[in-house]
Amino acid sequence: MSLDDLAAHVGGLEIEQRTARPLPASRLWAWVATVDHKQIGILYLVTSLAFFIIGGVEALAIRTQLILPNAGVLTPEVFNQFFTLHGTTMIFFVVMPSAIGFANYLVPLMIGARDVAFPRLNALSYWLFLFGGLLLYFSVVAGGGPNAGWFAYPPLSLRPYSSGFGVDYWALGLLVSGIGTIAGALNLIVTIFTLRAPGLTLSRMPLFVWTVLVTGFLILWAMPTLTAAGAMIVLDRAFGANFFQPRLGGDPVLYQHLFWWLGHPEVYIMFLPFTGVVSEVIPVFARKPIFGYGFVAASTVFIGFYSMFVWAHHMYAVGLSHPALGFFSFASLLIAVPTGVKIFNWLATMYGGSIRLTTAMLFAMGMIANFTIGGLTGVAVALVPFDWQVTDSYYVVAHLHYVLVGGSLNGLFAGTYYWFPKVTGRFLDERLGRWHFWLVMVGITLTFLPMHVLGIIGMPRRVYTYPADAGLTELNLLVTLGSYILGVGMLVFFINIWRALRQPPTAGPNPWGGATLEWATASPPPPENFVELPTVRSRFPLWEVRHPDDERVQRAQRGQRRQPLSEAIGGRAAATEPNKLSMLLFISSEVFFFGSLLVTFLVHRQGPGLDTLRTEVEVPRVALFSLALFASSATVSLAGRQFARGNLAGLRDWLLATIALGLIFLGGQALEYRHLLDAGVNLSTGIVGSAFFTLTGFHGLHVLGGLVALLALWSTADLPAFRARGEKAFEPIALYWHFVDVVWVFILGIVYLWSLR
Amino acid sequence: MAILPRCPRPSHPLVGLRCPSRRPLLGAVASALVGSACQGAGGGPGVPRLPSVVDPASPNAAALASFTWLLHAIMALVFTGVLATLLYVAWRFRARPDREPRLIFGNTRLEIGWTVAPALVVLAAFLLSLYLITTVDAPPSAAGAATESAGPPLNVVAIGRQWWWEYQLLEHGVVTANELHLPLGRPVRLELRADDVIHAWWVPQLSGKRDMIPGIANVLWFTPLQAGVFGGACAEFCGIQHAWMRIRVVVESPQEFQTWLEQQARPAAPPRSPEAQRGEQLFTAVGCAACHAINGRVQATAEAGPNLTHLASRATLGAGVLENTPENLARWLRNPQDVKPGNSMPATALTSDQVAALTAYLTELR
Repeated sequence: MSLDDLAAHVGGLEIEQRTARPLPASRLWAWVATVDHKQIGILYLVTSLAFFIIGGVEALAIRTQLILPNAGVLTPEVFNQFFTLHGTTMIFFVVMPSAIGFANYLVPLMIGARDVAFPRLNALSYWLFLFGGLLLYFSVVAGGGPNAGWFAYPPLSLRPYSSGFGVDYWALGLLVSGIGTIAGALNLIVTIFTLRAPGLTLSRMPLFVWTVLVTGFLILWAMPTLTAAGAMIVLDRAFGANFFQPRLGGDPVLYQHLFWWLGHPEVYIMFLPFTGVVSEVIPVFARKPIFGYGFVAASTVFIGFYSMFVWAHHMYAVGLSHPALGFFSFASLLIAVPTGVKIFNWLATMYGGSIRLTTAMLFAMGMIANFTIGGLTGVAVALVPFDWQVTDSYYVVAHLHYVLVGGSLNGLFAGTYYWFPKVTGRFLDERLGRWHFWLVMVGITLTFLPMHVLGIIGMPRRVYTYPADAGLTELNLLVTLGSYILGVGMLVFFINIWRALRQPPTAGPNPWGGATLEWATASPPPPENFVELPTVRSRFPLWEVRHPDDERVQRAQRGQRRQPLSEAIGGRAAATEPNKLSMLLFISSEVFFFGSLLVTFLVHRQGPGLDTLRTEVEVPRVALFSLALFASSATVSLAGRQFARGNLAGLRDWLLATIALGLIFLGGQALEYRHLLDAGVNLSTGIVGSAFFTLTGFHGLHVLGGLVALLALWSTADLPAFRARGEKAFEPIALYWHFVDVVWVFILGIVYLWSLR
Repeated sequence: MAILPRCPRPSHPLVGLRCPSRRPLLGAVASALVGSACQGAGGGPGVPRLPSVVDPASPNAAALASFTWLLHAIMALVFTGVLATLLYVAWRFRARPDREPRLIFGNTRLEIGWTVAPALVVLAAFLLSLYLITTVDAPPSAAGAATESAGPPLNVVAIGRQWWWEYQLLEHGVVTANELHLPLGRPVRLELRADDVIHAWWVPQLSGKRDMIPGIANVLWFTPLQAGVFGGACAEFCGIQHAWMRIRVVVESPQEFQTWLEQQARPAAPPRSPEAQRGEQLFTAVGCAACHAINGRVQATAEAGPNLTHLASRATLGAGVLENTPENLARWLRNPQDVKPGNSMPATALTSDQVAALTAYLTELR
């Protein structure tokens, strides 16, 4: 089979067009203009590394301020900015994007694809992420960084308590990078569902890909709530809305619910991919297939699922009712079970193997040991009574760093030492690697272990200093010295990378004896990854080790037996056209965005501002204009029918009718807004007014976006190529249009007919 | 070391009378641990006891302390097991030329085992925690503590403000700041409020923490069973001076407490020394009264700052940032922004003469 045949086989037209493009002029431009998943993956990783250095320097400065009581290294204001930036940077601009970077680089290689499903969207995701990070740090030069902590609880994050622009940049930075992250997650999910090599069923997929799949869904369903909460903070701060300011009838606890709806899945977004990394590293260096593949994959799915129902375990001290406390505690504790399953399976994988203690393997083992501590203290803080003592103390700081440094960062290092030869063709030095490993182990232990005790003996988190007579001095000194050792460890890591890049490439395609497809191609892999696309018959294609399940799956594929559930879902998704699948996923994400806004309205529908709105909103007129929007759902369906018959003229006519109806609806909304604003009803009219305008406003923006898409369809529908490929564009846009209509059904019902009539 | 339980000092008749370990369920698990902790002793008079979760001075804190020990014993056991297995396996199955790894894909029974066993442990911990929730977060009558001898619960309203604490004992006509006195052995109903941002009140020896949220009133219940001075701090990040929102609670005998109440409820006495009299005039003249009230002497216009009626009776200034001595008071008056940057008291432009007069006046406010 020639390369051209292959290209036609895998990617069709798109790939040929890409290779046919003229080569970019310079190397820098090549990186800027790239849509190659490997280059974008490297961009993610290098950018994360840069932010890691910034966040690390912030951490060392924070620890230096705390080395002794009443130290004057940082002013209180700068200290508060530093820990806010440190948390935000490490979470949103280091751990999360480095996981996405790994996924970007590795997922297409591991599933035997030539790129991700939407290469251009992939590039956009990266640039949005970078731009978000730059926005965050622009605050520092624009008059002061954010200083309200990485979760920015109102009222502290509102004016007048945070008066500069730091929190605004914080919120905007997270919004922008969050949109990029959602797009990236969507891209990865579609890639995994639709671009796997022949024979690579879901139950043969490498475990890292499984974790990326689950993480993708978590991002898709958790990030929109942060977007909503961040938007509300910006509206409160800059546009006079009253969501969270209690003095004006707002509800600060509502923000905590919205924030942690994202915040807790976020922990798993940062952690699950690195459990995937460890699940790849251990079998290779133990020369033994992963123990209990199905259980490890399923535990990932369960953790992801449960993580959506545990957000309030960050809020035990808020004063929740006892039944609510019990529910959230129970759900949080449940997560311990699948997490334990992972640890036990890793140990069982090593048992009976032939273990090579390379640096990658050492870090994987370090991850198991350290994460066990973080997981156990996680169980402890999930228990309400204990948490009442230690929440918001250094115990929690210790816990979260054992998860994110002990767990994720060690996993990240394991992955780096393991895949560095694949990415660069060069080995990282093992001797320096050992130094790196032991410095990190000692550093973590000295830095984070004593923090548990500091919490038990009463040190609250986020204090810029502590009294000299509070018994906290010795342990803080120890912690700070530990953090310096950790810093030296990182320095060794950077030196190792720098030195390795100056060596000649000697790695060869499969230096470690890996079993998965990324090792079946050159190091670094050529553009388009594989010369010949592999056909997969087992979970360990390069070891040719067959699992008994492989036979079962094959029989199932031939239709002789019932398929496993994962294959049924995977087959269904793979059969869906990628554009349509991505639109369905996007809509599922939007459900959570509008869901947060609707819930905000619902919870406070009797709140301040209700009476004013009730007298001023003209429900009959709104209902009348709503008919136009509902009718447009019918016209877009009729357009689809014409398209199916091949009648492009009919298609364009019905599209035009849809656009006209959409415009009529928006016109009605504009009339309504003008009437309300003239009557003095606006975003500041109590929490009901804020929720009303935010909800209807965002819906209006979505309608506008839909109209632009419909217009684009209409204007291209007479091009010759449309008849052949227009389906790919028409179907997702029609779906989206139906979705904004359905959202309006809920808004009309809940807001207008039920609450404001 | 502060995390170890202290030696018993059965000095007060009320000490150790009401431990929650009488309850059968908790008692079975934790009485041994609570026993010594609950009867532990305080520091000497006036010397604050170092805060600690596992050095409890109330039945609620004692229950939480024994729960803490129990959890950490289990955690230590599990961690040791995992680490030992990890190291043993890495050593036992280290790569050797003659070693061919076994081809094992899994074992469903094992998987079920290590799914069910942790689930049972976690479930047991959960049930115990449910019991503790209902015990700790409730009036002491429900917690089984006999209260006949100690009288009805003492109602205290604590208000978190940026960055100090206001305490109101309204039934006794007392409004004070930063230092709270409580009677030994009497249940306390502490109502937690805030009116600027969110704070959290945490004195580990007495109780777990609870948030103070503007617009919401949360309640903490506890019964101090040991005399002493207890330290604590604001636990919810509340802005630039979050670090200097230290809590000071003095638990003393009912008689001493009664004396304190009566003294705090009295209006301020007229200044005696001429210097102090000048200080009082200055207090209004230079604008202190815009924020600070002195009951019976100066009507505050806004009451945005701590009530100073009995300032000299408190041990610290600025919610723990300085010891309350005349020198420190003068230092604070010269430039509060230097001592506690970002706090709401503006930098003053007082002459050293004026500072001395104000210090003389304020140190008389006992």
